[in-house]
Amino acid sequence: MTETERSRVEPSVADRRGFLRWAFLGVALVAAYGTAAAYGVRFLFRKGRVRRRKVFVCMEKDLAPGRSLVRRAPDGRDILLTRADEGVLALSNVCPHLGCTVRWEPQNSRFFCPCHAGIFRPDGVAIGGPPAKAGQRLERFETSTSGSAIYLHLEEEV
Amino acid sequence: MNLEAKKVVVAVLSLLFLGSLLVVAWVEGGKQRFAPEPPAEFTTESKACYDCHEEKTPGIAAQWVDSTHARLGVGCYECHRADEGDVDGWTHEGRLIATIVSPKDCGACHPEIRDEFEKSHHAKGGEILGSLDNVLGEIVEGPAALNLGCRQCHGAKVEFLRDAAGQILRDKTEGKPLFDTATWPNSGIGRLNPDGSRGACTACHSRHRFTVAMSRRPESCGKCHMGPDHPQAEIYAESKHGIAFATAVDQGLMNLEARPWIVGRDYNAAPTCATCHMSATPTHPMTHDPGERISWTLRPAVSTRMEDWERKRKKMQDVCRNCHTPDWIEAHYAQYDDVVDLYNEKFAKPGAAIIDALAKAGKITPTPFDDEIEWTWYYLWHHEGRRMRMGASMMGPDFTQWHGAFEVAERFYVELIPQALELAHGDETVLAAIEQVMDAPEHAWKKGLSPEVRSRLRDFYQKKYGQEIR
Amino acid sequence: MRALAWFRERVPIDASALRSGLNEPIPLHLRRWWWALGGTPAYLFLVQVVTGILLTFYYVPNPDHAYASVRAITEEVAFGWWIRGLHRWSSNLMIAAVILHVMRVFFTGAYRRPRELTWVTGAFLLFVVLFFGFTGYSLVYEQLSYWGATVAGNLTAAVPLVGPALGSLLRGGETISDNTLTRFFVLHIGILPTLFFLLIVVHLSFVRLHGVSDIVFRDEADRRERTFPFFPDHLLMEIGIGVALTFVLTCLTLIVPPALGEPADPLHAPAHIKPEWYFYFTFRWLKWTGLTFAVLTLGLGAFLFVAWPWVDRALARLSRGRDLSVPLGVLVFVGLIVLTLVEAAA
Repeated sequence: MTETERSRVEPSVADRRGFLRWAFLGVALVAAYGTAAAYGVRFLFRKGRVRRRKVFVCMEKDLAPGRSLVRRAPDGRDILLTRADEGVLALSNVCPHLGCTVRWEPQNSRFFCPCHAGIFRPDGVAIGGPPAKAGQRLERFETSTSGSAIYLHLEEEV
Repeated sequence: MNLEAKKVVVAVLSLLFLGSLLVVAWVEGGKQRFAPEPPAEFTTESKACYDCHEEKTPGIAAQWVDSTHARLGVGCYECHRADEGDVDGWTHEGRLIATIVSPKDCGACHPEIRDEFEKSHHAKGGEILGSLDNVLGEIVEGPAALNLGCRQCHGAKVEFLRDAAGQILRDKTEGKPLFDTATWPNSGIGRLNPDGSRGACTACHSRHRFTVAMSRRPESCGKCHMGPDHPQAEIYAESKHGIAFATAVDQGLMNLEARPWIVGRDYNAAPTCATCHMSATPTHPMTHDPGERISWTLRPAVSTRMEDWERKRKKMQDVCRNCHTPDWIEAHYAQYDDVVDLYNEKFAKPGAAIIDALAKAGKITPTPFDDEIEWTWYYLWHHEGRRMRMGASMMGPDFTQWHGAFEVAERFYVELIPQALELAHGDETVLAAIEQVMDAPEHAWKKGLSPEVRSRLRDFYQKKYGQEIR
Repeated sequence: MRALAWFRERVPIDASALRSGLNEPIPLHLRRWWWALGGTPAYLFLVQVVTGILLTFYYVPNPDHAYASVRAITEEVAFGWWIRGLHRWSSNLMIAAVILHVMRVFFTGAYRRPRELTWVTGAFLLFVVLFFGFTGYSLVYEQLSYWGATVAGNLTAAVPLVGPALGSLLRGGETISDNTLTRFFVLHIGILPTLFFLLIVVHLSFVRLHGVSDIVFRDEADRRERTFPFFPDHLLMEIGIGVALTFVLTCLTLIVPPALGEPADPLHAPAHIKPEWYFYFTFRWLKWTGLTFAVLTLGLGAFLFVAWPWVDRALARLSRGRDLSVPLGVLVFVGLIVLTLVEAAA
């Protein structure tokens, strides 16, 4: 239909047809570019996969009762290893309050966080300061043994 | 193009674009994202070793980095560390280490395997002092041959150089104990280590990659289990098992790196030595004691059944069951037993009796290998006799027959008996022993074939080849 | 409506003036689809900006991590391969479109008075676009990225007088180093986009002020109106081109996804170093003529290219009215094609 012919048709019909055409076009464009935009947004979210693996930390003989050992985890955190009644205890030295580095105080048999005076029991449960108020504990890592080798279980995002 | 046409065109293009985006989503969904392999992990101590040895011994460092040990963070120091009081310990760059990593060291992390291995015959391999083979190697041949020949498979007793007072000699710079080079390097499977343990895990799990794929390959066993006196590697290669393996490995079907590696589940194209003798099956766990599945001992002059042989045979047959039916297995074992019995009854026991009689009559000296007949007898049971039995056990027909029974028969009839007769020098007991042997029905043919057998042979040759024979 | 009144009071734009200002009358010959060669690179540039910004979320401009970050984008991030593919293909198509546009403008004499400055800004835009391509490709830090950048650095340093200083400025030192990658990154996402934006504003303003040059073919019948409205006709055409381009880019990405060569190894040059296709002619010219001569001639060529409106005028005066630009242009263009093809075949 030429432009001249179109003006001879009933204005309401012509308007509706024209509007429908524009609407269809608009919907098609929005659908296409909207999908592309959705992909772009999805692109920005980096959902890593979780990888579980074991890493050697020490031999049983290195962890005599009463002794503790600090080992660096692959991601740079320090892990404190002690021998508890139920086996080997592997605790993160990152304070759950705001992330400061927690210290083991052998003279007081406790963990102490210098930032806001958080205090933790030897098993990692907070008993003083802001972490205790929030009912937090030092992150505990699973360990396992293979023979007399002690392995740390890590969950990493890759 | 007018406006209306433009609208349509653009709308169609938009839909095409949308279509292509759907394909993009489909491709995206189909993408398998593999987590990248974690890098080698280092403890502080091992990092120090690695940083230097990466330059000094790049091959060792690079092999380790590729290994499962590296992925788990088990490095140089974790294996080579020594304790105070270890006789072979020395302080290297500030740390107490030892060169040799023995089963005791490996067993710190792999205790069950170490225990199984300790029980096995492999662990006893180094204790061949006093055996006939030892005399042969050490005295008849020479110590150097023993060290680089016998002991590289059996394992040496690792010794250090010592001074007159018996103290270990050490080098000036770091106090490293000096090995007696007659005994080290050595990775024989029954090595007697300075820390008192027996064995060398590296015999099959070669350092420093320790890749299990190597241990599962027949070539690993074949380093030692080959040759004229126990050609298991050659027999396997000749057998259908070996042919299947050669094809399967080319076609990438063996899955040698898999953990676990269970026959029938993780691979099924062919067995290797490990499959039958050690590795896991759906019904049996892996064992590092191959003796657990062996019912006959084919090693000695006269074969005997192992202690608790029925249970062990059942275990082996359970492995066969993954690919073979019970009838097949039963029949094979019947054939195998028959060959061993044939060897035992027709050649081995008679031969042993004759040698015994000669020794008792003083016709051969107590010194081994100084009489020709001792070599003859040795060849018969230690080489040809073993080939015959082992060929039967692992279905290598040529080894059973031409490298085996045929040569046993030849050795027996053409050499042993005539040599014994000559050595007898008329001694009654010896001659009686020989006659007792030759009177047995299986040796009667020596006296001449019966007329019926002779005429049958004549007819056969006449018909098939048109040949006239006497 | 109260909302509209609120808006009109705070944004005092005269609606009718805006409408007429935007609704530029388009000459009829632009109805031909292949006259939209200016809009194409503009749209593709938009694609580059959007995909480029997205890529910057994950790209790491440090030699130790650059390649790995590109690999992560291609293989791990959701739709990363698509975004990267769009960016890659769009850069190739944009350069091709710009070259076609330059050819169209050149061979229709649209650079002549009074449009010389449009031409000059356009020439610089071409240089910026080529520089975009070069820096962008170097950021991947593959073998070819690294060694291509090395060659380019050496070429720059070979320019007489200012060469060494320019080379040092480009590389951030005497050789390709950590500084180099950072510089290329800053160029690619900061300096060049700004330059491009400024130049394009000036370029488009000139185009709008002068109007798109009109040409009449001898066989064309006289038309009733010599223009048609920008809105909605021409706009729809431009949108259509945009949709078609993105569709083509997506198809290209699906058929030939973005790949990764070997990571850059400063110790081992690959057997065959090759720049991107749009630099093949420079590379081949360099191989045929030698460093200094090539640098000088390329410099001269670039200067003549920028100054062509005046060269063209001088030529017209010298040849007494004959249009020598077209045959000369054909000659040069064919020469460039030959150089490109020879290098491609090598």
